[in-house]
Amino acid sequence: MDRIDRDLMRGVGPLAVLSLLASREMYGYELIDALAVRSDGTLGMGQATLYPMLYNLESKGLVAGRWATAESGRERKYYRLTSKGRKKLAQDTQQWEQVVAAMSALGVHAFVRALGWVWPRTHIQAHVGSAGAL
Amino acid sequence: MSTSNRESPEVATLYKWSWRDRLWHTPLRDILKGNLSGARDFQYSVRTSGLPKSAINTIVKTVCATRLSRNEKIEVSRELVAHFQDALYGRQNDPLQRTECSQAEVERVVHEFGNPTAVAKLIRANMIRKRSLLTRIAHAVFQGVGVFIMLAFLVLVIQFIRYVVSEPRVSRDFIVEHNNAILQAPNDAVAWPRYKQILPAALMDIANDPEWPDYAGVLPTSPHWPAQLAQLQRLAPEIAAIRQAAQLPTLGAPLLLVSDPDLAPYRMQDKNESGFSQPAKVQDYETTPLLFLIPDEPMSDIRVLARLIGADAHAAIFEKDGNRFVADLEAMIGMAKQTRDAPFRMRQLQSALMYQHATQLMTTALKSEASFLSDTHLLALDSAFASFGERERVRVNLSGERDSIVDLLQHVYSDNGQGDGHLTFQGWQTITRAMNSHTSRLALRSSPQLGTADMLASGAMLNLVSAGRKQMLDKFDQVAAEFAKNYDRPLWEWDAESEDLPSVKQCEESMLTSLRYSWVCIYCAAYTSDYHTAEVATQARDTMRVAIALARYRLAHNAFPASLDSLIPTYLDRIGPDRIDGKPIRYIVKCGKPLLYSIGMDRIDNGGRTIRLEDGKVWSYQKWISQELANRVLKTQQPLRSDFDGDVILWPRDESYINEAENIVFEGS
Repeated sequence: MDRIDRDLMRGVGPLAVLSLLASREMYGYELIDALAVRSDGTLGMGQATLYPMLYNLESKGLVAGRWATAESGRERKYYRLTSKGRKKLAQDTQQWEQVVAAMSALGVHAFVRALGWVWPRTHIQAHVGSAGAL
Repeated sequence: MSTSNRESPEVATLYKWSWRDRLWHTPLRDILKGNLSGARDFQYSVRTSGLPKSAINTIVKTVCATRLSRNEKIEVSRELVAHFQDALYGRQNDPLQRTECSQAEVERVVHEFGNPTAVAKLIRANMIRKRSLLTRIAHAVFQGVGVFIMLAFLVLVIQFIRYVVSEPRVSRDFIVEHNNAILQAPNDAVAWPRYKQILPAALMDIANDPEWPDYAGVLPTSPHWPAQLAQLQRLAPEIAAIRQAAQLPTLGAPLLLVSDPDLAPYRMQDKNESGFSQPAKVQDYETTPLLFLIPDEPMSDIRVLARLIGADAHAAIFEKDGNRFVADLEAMIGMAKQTRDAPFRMRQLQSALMYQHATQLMTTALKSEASFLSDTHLLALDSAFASFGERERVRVNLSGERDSIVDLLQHVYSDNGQGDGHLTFQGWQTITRAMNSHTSRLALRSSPQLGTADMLASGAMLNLVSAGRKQMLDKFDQVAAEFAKNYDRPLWEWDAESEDLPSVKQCEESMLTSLRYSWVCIYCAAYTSDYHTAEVATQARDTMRVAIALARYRLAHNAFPASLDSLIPTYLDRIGPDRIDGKPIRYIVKCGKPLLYSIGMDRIDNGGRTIRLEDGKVWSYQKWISQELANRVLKTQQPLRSDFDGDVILWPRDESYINEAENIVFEGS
């Protein structure tokens, strides 16, 4: 799949990262990998974009990083969601659900489908129904 | 597969890392442990990470381009190293044992990473957001300081270039202008040409007699007395010529850059015989014709003639030759008046000194028991003493001093055509060399010459703080106005001391001001003494006139008057004021001896009781200070109070006379 437009990604990217970190802490490359694999390349983020974004989220207190040595013996910086980050994720998710619903109502189903990898299917299905065809 | 893409373990040794670098990059805690770990050098950890060279270069380039702090760079580099390791080697453990990547794989990962400069820009922007408020403030301050230093450096460079490149522009020749004024007088009214004719003989005679300097105060009991009489007889024609020349209204001695060739040979003999060093080289003044450093050699010549006249007057006292004494004193006062024709402080001071010398001789004459001076003599002397200075007081004419500083500025500062400019290297060289030469001459030894580098540096430093030409002149005018406002009136009306004047205070209290207005501050220091000297001369004149009037009264009445009022109007039109309070000079007769006195700085009339030191000596030094300072001293400075407790004898200022008057006899005296 083609990557989405940069402007659109600018809005989506942080939310996507927060969403990934909602389940567990992850390190930089792992996030890049997860974004690319789980969105089938759609949200495949330029590697250069991720780290500044992480620093930005860190500066806002939405994520927190810690250095740890992995089982492989390699040193990595793991990021986790903070409580502030969780609140932000909840807020943004709600807003995106509204956007998705609105877009769907306009018949922009492809867009909704493209986002299916990030949000639980139930969330989107609740808004777009079977028409979402996720 | 290739190994060439990866840094070998030896990279650590290949990477140039001196102990200084290591120390610089070692945290304090490691240094204290004696371990130069260099842990704060991100490049070292990146280059020893085992990553392929192109990846290392990408990381280093990216991190360097972030321009973050060292700690931030370390953090970013660690993360990027981890990133590339994950991207290239996945989950393999030992970087040295894992499967090598192909060149293509490495290039792909590096390519996916993106443009290092663009990445660095994004990282930097977001890392800065991560900083704490305190760090951001500190960083802003640090950057501000950096910008300030850069700007300051830029200003320094511009200033330095300006200082070196600019040149002063001399637009007025003040020496010529003053000489035009001096030489304006008709030939038959100026004395200097006549003095010049007299000087060779006088100087030669002095040069041939090394003991001459002692003669001025020689008494008949001295073994030198016959020699002095012989010399005075030898120089009788010259003395007569001096007396004639001294009657002329002006001196008319021009300001000369070079020694007068007619007199130079005789001056040289005098100075060499006296152990003086060679006079300053003529070319020093030719190349630096500064008005304020001009060698006013006619003044030293006039001094020689005044001493000769003084010696003759002194001899006349002991030979009881009234006519000769009067002629000599008239000549000396005439020379003092002539010297005041140029408005420069040194000439004014010299004039006052000659006048003081005349008053001392007059005092000696009046003290002699059997006075040889007739009423006619005394009347003539009164007229001579009264003619010095303005009627109310001897005033200071310092108008030439402003020209001196304007002249100095035009020789040293650049000129923007509107009267402003800045210090120039060429000008600084001029002034430094001129002052050095002048100092050498005064100090009678050679001062170390400043080299070009020294002058370049010292002038550049001064240029940074020195006021501009216009500001300097404005400051001078401000100082002169403050001095004139405070001092250009009788002593009893002075409001403050010079150190209390705002401009002088600034010069004395602020190092920056004294550097900024250096030329003006140098002038400030001398101004007070000019006004003091004028007041001293005024007091001496007014006192001397009363003393002469008393002598005349005594001749007429064979006794001194009970009060000075008896002198008016026959002998004086008024009694001159005590400079301390403006009231008439005080008078008392003790043991048949008249004393003229001032109430002194305590402003209390103690009936002529003199101030005596612990050893019984008379304290006859009048303090020429303002009422304000006197009050301050009386209130606070206890040790000085004793100097104020009593009156100051104005005439005769003679210890033995005063002791006799006060009937005080010292053992062994």
